[in-house]
Amino acid sequence: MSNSESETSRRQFLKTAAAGAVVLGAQGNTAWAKAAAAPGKSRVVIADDQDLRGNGATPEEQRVARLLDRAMLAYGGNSKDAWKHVVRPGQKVTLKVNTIAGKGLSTHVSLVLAICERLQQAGIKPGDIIIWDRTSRELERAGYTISTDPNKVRCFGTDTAGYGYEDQPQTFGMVTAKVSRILTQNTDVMINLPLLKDHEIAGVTLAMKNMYGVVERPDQLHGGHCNPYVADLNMLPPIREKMKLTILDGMTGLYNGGPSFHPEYTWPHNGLIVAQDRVALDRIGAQIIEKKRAEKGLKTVAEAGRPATYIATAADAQHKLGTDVPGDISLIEA
Amino acid sequence: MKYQGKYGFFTFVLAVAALSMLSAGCKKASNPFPASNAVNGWTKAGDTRTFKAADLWQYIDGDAERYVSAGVVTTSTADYKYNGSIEATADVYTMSNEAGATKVFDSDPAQESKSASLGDASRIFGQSLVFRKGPYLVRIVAFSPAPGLDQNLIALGHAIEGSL
Repeated sequence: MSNSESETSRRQFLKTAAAGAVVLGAQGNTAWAKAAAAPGKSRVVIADDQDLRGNGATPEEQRVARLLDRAMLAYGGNSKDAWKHVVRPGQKVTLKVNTIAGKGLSTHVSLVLAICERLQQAGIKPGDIIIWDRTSRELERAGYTISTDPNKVRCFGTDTAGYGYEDQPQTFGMVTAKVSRILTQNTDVMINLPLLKDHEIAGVTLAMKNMYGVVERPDQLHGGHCNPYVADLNMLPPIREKMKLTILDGMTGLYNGGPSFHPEYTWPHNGLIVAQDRVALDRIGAQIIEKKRAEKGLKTVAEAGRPATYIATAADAQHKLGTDVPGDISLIEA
Repeated sequence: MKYQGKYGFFTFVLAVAALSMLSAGCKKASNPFPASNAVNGWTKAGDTRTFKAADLWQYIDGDAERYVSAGVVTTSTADYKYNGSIEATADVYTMSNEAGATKVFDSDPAQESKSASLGDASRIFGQSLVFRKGPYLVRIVAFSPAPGLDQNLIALGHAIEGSL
């Protein structure tokens, strides 16, 4: 498919993905305020750059930074102001990445470094930024450099000495789990950095399922297609309250065989999805994956026996984590 | 007494021989990964890790379910580099029987793959290889593409197959 045909197809998809208003580009610095003042309308930004990789196989760092800035600009205000709506100087900010699938399919280091730079420009001290996941080994395998230097941006896993999981578990619904002390004791604001992947059990793994890497025994939360476990997990107070923004790394998408890396089922989606509403983001992300599966002649995840039912659960009256109703999602193309 | 002593010694010798053979078989299957440079271009990076079925989730999270349900016993994994730059991971799943390996192998879509003439059945893609041999399922995945990589993956696969 040529670039122009891809662009036409993408635009057509975006028109049908959400019945709500589609705004091409955000205007001015009051967009965050407008978003907050419009209850029931969740803003989701989709930004992409089809030349993200230049002539190579990997996204170019500068292009990744520009893509990030464009996404945040579209979400509300110019880039620096946008970050100031998410974080304040003095806060501890942690970035929960996804590295379980290894170097081939993990949150890109280039994206994370760009976010760290923007956070510091917004007044966050380097030592108040932690990049983290379950284990330091997984971070290293994904290309991250482990550092616990308190004067610099730090990067380590929950399994690092002095951290670990809380002694006492927290409970909501079907979930009783011990939460990482990185989140409970070292985070004021968590920025969630998941990937764009399908999942053999849950159907898809996006913003909400990335929180499986925050608790001690995620293996106990996979029954019933991870439903209601994903939703219940996101109701645990540290997860519900501290996740202020999700920037989904959709530069490489996985449409089959997830969550493990299957290169034969990846595609260079070359995009980011930004939202504060984790449910709306997951609904949009799931639609992107389903569209790619259809292009490849595969059944929907539901037809394949693994429906992403957790998304609707997260939006129900018992959870109210966000909205999955197309009419209540304002999809913004950047 | 003399009669029992002779047979007792004979039984002891048989038992030691059987244990040795069993041990050798276990060692062979538990360390299927070739050493650095045993296969042209491939160097082993780091140690081999082995996971019991109950702990497999620590390695592959939710993907562990389908291996567990198919009867996986242990999983061994090792990282490699090709020509010092292309990173890859090789996983050997030891299932309880051939049916388990077949079940997992058959559950993967085969679109755009070719046979690699390995084991009892195999698939090669541009960046990954999977084959099964008896109760073993082997996956080798490279993290970046390269011209001719598929043939190099097959070469590594042959070495692993020979150790099973």
